[in-house]
Amino acid sequence: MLVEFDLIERARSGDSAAFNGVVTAYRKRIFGTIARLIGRPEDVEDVAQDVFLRLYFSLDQLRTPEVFEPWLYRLTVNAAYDYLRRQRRRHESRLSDLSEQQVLMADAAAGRVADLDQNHRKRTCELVDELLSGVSEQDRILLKLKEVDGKSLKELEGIYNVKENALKVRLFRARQRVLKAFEASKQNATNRGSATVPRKA
Amino acid sequence: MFQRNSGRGEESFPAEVQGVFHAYRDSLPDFEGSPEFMPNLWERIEGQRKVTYSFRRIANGFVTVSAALCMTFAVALWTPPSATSSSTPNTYVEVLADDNADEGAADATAI
Repeated sequence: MLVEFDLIERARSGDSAAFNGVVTAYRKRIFGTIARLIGRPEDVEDVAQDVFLRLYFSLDQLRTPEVFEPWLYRLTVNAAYDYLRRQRRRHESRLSDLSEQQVLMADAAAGRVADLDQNHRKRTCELVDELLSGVSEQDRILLKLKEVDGKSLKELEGIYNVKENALKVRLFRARQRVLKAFEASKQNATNRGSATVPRKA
Repeated sequence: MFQRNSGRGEESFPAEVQGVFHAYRDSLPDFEGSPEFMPNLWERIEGQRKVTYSFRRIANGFVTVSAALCMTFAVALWTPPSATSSSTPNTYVEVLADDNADEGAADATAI
């Protein structure tokens, strides 16, 4: 725990300074988790605000301060999930408005503007998105929490409030799909004659 | 196909796929958040509070108006029991009882 139980208790009873303390303590960690889950640095702050807004209005539902951390991560996962769903809807409607040629031109223009570092980040994100494309949105978040954020099964059990075995089954199925996508991506890269994992220039 | 991490009993991806995920993690910058993060958060909290407060006020007003309407209708439809019960019988059973009483009285006078 990054904060004392007492601080959470005070925040729960409506103490604004205590709530500020809780936000300040967890802010960086939540930023990091959100960034890894959504993969868009520009929207991290907005989603984080959503998380802390949900936290503020649901603190009185917290049974004991002991379960605060998994509970905060559950709010984070839910906010990230909502964001990804909104993004997908927006992306679909935007693409449906453009012709294929316009999409290609927009991509090319975006590519010219981005510098090398951004380009590398973009390519890595695209590859991860490609690997996770066959996995449902929920399992995608679960996999990212496990593989990218480094959460243990015990921690995930607390966040998802489900038994470890159920999580193992979900992870196993998701991993199989990712591996299948990885093999396909490798095959494509071999056919095109380029490397699978993007290397920094 | 999978690798097993010793000790934890948790399966994981082959090194190649793990490399992709590590590259993804490393490609994301560290976030400190802008100085406006807290003020913006409180602004959103206040905005949400206002919405909740106005919704509660509207709901309370609606309940009050409904209660007042119920009372008005109750008063308008209510008729005092004394006005009906003294002169005319109310129920079918009472009418029958009255008829029997009248017939009984008529028989007694005839005898």
